[in-house]
Amino acid sequence: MKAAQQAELRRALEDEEAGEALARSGVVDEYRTLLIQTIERNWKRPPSARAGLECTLYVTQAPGGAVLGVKIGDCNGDDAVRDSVSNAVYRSSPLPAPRDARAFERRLVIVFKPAE
Amino acid sequence: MRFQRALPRPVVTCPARLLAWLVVLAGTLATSAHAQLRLDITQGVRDAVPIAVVPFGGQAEGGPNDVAAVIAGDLQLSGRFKPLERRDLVARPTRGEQVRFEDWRLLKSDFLVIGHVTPEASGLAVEFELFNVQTGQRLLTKRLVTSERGLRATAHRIADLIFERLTGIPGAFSTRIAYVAVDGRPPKQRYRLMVADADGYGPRIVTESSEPIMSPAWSPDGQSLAYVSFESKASAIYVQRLATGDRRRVSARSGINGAPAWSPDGRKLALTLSRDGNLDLYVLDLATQGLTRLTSDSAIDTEPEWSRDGASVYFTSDRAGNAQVYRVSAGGGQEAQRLTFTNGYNARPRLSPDGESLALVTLDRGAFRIASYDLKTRNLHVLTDGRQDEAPSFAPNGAILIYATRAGAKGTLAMVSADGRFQQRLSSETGDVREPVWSPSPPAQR
Repeated sequence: MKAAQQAELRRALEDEEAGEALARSGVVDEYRTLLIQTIERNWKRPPSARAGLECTLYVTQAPGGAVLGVKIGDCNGDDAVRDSVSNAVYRSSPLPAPRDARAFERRLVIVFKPAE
Repeated sequence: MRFQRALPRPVVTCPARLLAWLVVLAGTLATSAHAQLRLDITQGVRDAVPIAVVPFGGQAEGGPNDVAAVIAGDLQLSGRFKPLERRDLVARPTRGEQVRFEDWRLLKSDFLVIGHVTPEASGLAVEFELFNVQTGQRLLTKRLVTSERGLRATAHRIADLIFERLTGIPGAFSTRIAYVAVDGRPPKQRYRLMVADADGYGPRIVTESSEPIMSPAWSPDGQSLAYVSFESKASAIYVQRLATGDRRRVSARSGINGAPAWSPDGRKLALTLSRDGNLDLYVLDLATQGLTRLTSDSAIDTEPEWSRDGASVYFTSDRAGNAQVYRVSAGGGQEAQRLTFTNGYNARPRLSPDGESLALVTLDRGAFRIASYDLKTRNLHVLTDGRQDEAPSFAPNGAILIYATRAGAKGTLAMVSADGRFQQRLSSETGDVREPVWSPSPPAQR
């Protein structure tokens, strides 16, 4: 194996290890909770958002947290629900930043799944 | 060893070059699977949704037919929306191409309604557009033709369409409310049976008397009202057609004739009569005048309300010592079944349009309040927090109820959403207002 390739390999593995360490430290969970709380506060739930609803959103954010795009994936809600979930994300823009910048993710998968 | 942990075993045997390529690829894949943070949202808030309704083009602002003001008033009344104040509107677009979404985003408005009124040969054309401010998407647009007199009705219709698009529930703004207004002090009182638009506009007198008028009930087609009047010094039940004013006395038996309730097909009235000395429930066939007895109990049985299928009747009875809600077969000859057990007083049941719950008056911690009783789970959920709330009546979409309450010594009207999270007092005219009843939806919308 060539040296450059080995270095490349090592870097990839180190990145992965760093990711795992980050996950272990709780920073990612904290970031996730922060995002969930922000979006929940901004989700004005319409009456048609009943139990059994499940709507998946693919969200891209800029490094500062600005929401760049929202794509609605699988969603069994009506138009009112679709508007409300995408607006919840836009209203949350800019999204909060993680305590450790390495926990930042450009892409988010957000699943709206009301408990009751 | 790192290799083996990071990669599936067969790959280890690959040529070095390919191996390196695979590792990088795996890294990329790992990053992409990994670099999507998954969030599960299980809760939301039930705040009113901000919406901007811009004054329509081609109209003077602030007149009685101000279309945007009527729409905003309706949305506000529903409790689910919070229209922006007019003075906070940053721009006055009346057509889609004039809208700058950034302006409205800054105001934290989720939705925007614009439109214009233009004269045409057959009257006035009202065109509106509804936008999602966050995405810039146009959600709804429509052109309705009307006349100057029909502008308010058209505005209510637009509010219905917007409400339905944004909540998934049909609007109930193109409806009316009947209620009883009482002026003056005894013995010189004046009773009036009134009908007004659901937003309180344009009240008109259906009938009036110096003797009590009570218990108005809409026919299922919304064309007639049944009510009790003491105008001949004793109680009698009348049915009056609103369009013509024609009325008919349908029950004037000796003793009390009270609490008329229309069957779902509009052919019969359930009512309470005291012909045997105490109040029992009967069904009166309006065409044949035939009377079927539903209950014969020494207690007071009153305030009937039909089930959706017309097969049974809900009512109030004090046969257990205090008022509770029961159900009995509408065909007669069957024992009544008790439904409510939760509080020491439950009365005046009114069925929700979906037939799944009853609104009623309950005695909750020493106060009379409106509650909803789930017919399936048998749970009682108190909706209001007044001291003397009474006479609940569902809007035809089931999303909101109107009821009577007290403001000081005066009776007034209030609304509460069916989930109880939004309550609103309606500013009332002078005098006492009581027994509000929400009309069915107009025929075009059923």
